[in-house]
Amino acid sequence: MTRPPTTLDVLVRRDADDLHLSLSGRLDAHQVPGFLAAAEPLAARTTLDLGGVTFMDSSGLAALVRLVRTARAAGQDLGIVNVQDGVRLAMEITGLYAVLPIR
Amino acid sequence: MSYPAFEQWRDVPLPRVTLSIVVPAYNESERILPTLAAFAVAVSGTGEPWELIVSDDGSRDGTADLVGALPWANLRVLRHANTGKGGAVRRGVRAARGDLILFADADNSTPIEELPRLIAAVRAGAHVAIGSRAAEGAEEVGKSAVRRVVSGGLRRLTRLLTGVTAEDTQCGFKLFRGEVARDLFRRGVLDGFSFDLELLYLAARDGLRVVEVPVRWVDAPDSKVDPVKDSVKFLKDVLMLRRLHGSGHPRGDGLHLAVVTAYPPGRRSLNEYGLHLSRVLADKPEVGHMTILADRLPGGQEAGDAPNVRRVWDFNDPLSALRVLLALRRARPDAVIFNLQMASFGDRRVPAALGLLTPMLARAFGTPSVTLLHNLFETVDLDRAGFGGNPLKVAVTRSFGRLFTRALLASNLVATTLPRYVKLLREEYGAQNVFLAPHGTFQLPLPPQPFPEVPTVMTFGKFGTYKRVEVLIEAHRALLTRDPRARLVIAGSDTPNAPGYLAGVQAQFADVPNITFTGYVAEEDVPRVFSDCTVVAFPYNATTGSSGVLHQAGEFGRGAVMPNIGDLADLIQDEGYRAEFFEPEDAQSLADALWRVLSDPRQAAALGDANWRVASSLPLSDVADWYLLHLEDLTGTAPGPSPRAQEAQA
Repeated sequence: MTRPPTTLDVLVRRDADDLHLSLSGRLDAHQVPGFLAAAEPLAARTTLDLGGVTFMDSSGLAALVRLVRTARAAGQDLGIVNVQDGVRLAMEITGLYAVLPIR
Repeated sequence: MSYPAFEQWRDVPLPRVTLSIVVPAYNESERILPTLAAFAVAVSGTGEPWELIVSDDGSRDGTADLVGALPWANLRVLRHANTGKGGAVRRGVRAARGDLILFADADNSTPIEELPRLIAAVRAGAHVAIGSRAAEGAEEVGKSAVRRVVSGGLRRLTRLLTGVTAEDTQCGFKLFRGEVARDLFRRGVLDGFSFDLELLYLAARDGLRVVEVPVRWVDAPDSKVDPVKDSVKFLKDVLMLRRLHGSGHPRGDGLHLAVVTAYPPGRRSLNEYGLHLSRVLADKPEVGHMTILADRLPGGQEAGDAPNVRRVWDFNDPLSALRVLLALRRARPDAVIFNLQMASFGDRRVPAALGLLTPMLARAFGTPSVTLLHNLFETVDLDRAGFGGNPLKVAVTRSFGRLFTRALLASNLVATTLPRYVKLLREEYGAQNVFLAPHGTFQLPLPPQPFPEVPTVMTFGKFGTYKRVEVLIEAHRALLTRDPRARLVIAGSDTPNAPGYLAGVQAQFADVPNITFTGYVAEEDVPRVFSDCTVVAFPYNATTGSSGVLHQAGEFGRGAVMPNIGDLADLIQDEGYRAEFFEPEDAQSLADALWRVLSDPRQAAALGDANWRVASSLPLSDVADWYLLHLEDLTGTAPGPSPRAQEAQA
C-alpha cells in the first residue's frame, strides 16, 4: 500500500464538446466543492477518469450521482472510467455500481 | 490485484487471523460503507489473514443492519445498547482473535493505507503503535484553528497529569499487540470519549513501548467532536483516571510481583533462572501479575519481549539501582524478588556494589524485597571469578564484600540455594531472615532420551574464568587413544569477563579431532545438546554457587563428571546427585573419570537415572511455592493473622 494523498488533484481538459476530468487523490467532503466547480458546466461528452482516486466517501459518491443526474436531465453524455478496486467496492455495496455509467 | 484478494476474503471464512480491525460505529449509516469498502480491498490486498469487526454502539439509524447485510465471511457485527465509543471498542477487542488489533474510525479519517507503517512499528518491537497527527511528518488537513489551540493545551495538561508522553492521544487509529489490547481493555473502565487516554495511561504505567507513527489524517467536516465541551469532559476523565488507577493494581487480583533479573535473550548470568522463576510464579493462582525488570539489551534485541518485561538497568551502569527503584515506583508491585549473584550488576567494583544496595533501598522505599542469592562472597574465588587483581585490592574487595552482603541481608528476606549458605549467613552474620530455596529443576523432566551411539562428552556453560576447557581437551586427547570415535562438545559462549576465550582455545587445539564448539545455546536448543551426550563434564577449578548445569544434566537424565570441590560437592551431598570425581586440573584423572562412564553403558545409565530422579523430585514450580508462602506472610496477604507482616510494615 503506498501512502495516498489526503487531498484531490483535478486535471481538466475542455474542448468544444468534450470535457475530460482526471482525478487523483481522495474525494471526500472537503474536496467535493472544488471537484464540482471544476466539472460544471458539463459538456456534451464528459469523461470522469477516476484512475488516481484512492478513496471516495459518501459525499464523493453523492457528488458523482449529482453529476450523472444533471447530465441525464440535459441530454448529455457522461462516462466514468478507471474505477479502482476500493472505490468500485464502495460503489457496489452502496448499490451505485449498477446505476452509474461506468465504462 | 486487490479485488480478487478481496473476493477470496469475502467468500472464505478464515480459521485463524493475524489482524483484527475493530470499527466502533454510532449512527454511521451515511458514511461507514465506503470506509469498509476501502478497508476490505486495501487490507485483503496485503495478504494478511484478517477479520473485520464492526461494533455497533446502539445506533438508531440502522447502521448495524446495513453492515450486517454485507455478505462478507470475515465480517462480524456486534450489536449492543449505547455505551460510548470506549465500550464499543472494548466489546470489539474482546471479540477479536488477531495477534494484532487495530481500531479505526468509521470515517476513514486516517487512510487505511497508513496501516502497514503501524504494523511495521509493532513488529519492530512496540507494544502499541498509535497514529499521530502531531508527530513529526504528520499532515493534518482541514483542522480548524479552535481545535488546534484546544488540543495543544490539552496535550500539555494531559502529559503533566498522567505521564502519558504521546503528543496525540485521541487519534482514532491505534494498533496493539493482541495480548496487550486484551490486557489493557480488561483493566480499563472508561466507556466514553477518553477511553484511549485511559489505555495510554495504563500502558505508560506498565512501561509499555508506545510509539507514535505520523499519519496523514483528514478532519471530517461533520466530525462528532465539540472542542470546548469535549475538553471539559476530557479533563474530568483525566482526573478520574488518576483516582481510579492511581493506587496500583486493584486488590483481589492476586499478588503483583516484580522480579529483578538478567533475562533472555540477554546472556548475562542467571538469565535462564530469571526466566523460569518468573514463568512458574506467573502460573501460580495466587499471582495476578508479574513485572520483570530486566537488563537492557543492544538495539533490536528487546523487540521480542513479552509485554510485562521492562528493560530498565544496564550491566556496569552505576545508576542501575536508581533505575530499578524508579521502575518499582512506577509499577507498584506488592513485593519484589531480586535474582542475584554478586556480579549481577557489573564486573567493575563500583557498579556491581551499588547495584547490590537495590534490595535494601527498595525495602526502605516501601516495596517488600526478597533477595535470591545464588552465591556468596565468602565462597567466590575472586581471582577465578574475574574480580582478581593485586592482593590489596582483593582484600579490600573482600571487606566490601562483607559490607554488601550485610546490605543484601537488609532485604526483608534472603533466599539461598544451598544449606551451607544458609548456615554461613546465620552464623557469620547473625542473619535471622534467611531461608533455603533449592535451585529446583526448570521443567518437570520428560523421560530421558536414549544415549547417543558415539561416546560423547559435553560441557555446558559460559567459559573463560573458573570454567576453562583446556584440561578437558587434554583429557579428550587421551580418550581418543582408547576410542577414536570419542566426541567432545563444548556448548556455550565466553563469559562476558573473558571475551575471545573460546576462539583462542579453538585455535590453540585446532589439531585435536572430534571437537564441536556450539557457541551460545538458545533455550530451545538446550534439550538437544544434553540429550546428544553420554555424560556431562564439569571442568571447573572453582565454583560460585549451586550449579544450574548439574540440575539440567539431571533433567535430561545424564551423569556428571566433576571435581569434588565446593558447591558441587554440596549438591551431591545435599540433594542426592551422582557423579564420577576427578582431581581438579588433572587431565589424566579427568580422562579416567570420563572413561569409567563412557566405557560402561550401565554406569552411564545409573548416574543418569539417579540424577533424573533427583531432578524430578524438585521442580522449580514447587520451589516457587516456598517463595509464595514467605511472600504472603511478608505482604500480609496470608490467610489469618501474620506477625511478620506487621513487622514488615512497621
